[in-house]
Amino acid sequence: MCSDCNIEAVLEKKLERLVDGLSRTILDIHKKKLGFEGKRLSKEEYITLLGELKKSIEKFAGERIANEMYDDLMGFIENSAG
Amino acid sequence: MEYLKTYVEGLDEKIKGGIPKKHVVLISGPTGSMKSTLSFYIAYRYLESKKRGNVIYVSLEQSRDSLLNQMKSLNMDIEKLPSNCEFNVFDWGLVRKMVKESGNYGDVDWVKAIETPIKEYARDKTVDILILDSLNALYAIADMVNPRNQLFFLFESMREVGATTFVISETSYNSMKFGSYDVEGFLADGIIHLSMERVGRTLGRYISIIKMRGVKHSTDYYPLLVDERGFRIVSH
Repeated sequence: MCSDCNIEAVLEKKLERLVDGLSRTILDIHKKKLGFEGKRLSKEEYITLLGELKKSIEKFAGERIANEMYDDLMGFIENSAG
Repeated sequence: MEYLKTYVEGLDEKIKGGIPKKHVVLISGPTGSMKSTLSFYIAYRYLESKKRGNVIYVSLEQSRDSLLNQMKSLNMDIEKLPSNCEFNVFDWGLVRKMVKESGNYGDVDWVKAIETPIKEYARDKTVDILILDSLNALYAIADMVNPRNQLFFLFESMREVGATTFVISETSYNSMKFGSYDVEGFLADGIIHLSMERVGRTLGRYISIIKMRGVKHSTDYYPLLVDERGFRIVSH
C-alpha cells in the first residue's frame, strides 16, 4: 500500500471509533470542502485535512476528544513517509 | 445495591436513597417538562459531588453548543467541573446534517453509529452515567421495523456499558403512555414521569416515580420546582 493510501486508511479506521459506518462519508465531505476530492494527497495536505477534521470533531464531541484524536493521527502522519 | 442520587431535594428519600446503579431509566414527559435538564442535572451534580467520573450525553437533535449554553445559564458549566470529571456530549445533529448534505442519509445504520463511540469510550474508561436524548429523535432516523425487539437490544447494549442510563422520551400532554410505541416502559428498569398541569395562569411541573425495579416507592405526583439551587419537590 502506498504511504498516502495508508494514511487515509488509518484516518478512516480511527474515525470509525467515533462515527461507525460514516467515516468514509465524513472524510469525503472534508476532502471535498478542501478541494482534495479524487486527488492523491501530499503529507502537508493530509495535515490540512486533519486540521479540518479536528474542527468538526470538536463540534461533535468536544475539545478533549478532538485533541486526543488529532494528536494520535498527527503522530501517525508525521511518522509516515512522503 | 448501590444507588445514584437524583439530587432532587426531597425525592431521593421517596425512593429509599436513589436510583439503583446500572438501571436503564426512562425520563418521560411533554415538551417543556425539563427532561433534558433533569437528566443533565443528575449527571452534573453526580460529577460535582464525587469530584471524578465520566458521563456521556448523546444528543440527537439539540446541538452541543446550544445544550451546553442552556445548561450554563442554569449554573451547570462543564468547564467548571473538577479535572477528574469528563462530561462528554456527542452532537449527532451535526453529523446528521453533514451526512444529509452528502446524500448518503438513508444508507446509515444510525443505531450502530450512535452505539459505537459509547462502547469505544467504555473500553478504556468507566461510564458512570449515560444519557440518550431522545428516543423520539432516534425513531425519526432509525427504521423501527420491530420496535420491541430493537429497543430490547438497544437497552441491553446500554446495560453492557455498565452505566446508569437515562433515556429521554417525549410524550404528549396528559398522556399516560411513556413512549411512542408503548413498550418502552416495559423494557426499562425505571420510569420517571414529568408532567405539566395548568394552574391558573401558569403551567405547574410535577414528577412521579412510576416504576423503579428493586425499590419500594410510591407513585405519587409531587410538584417539581426549579430555581438557582436546583430541583426540589414539594412533599405532601
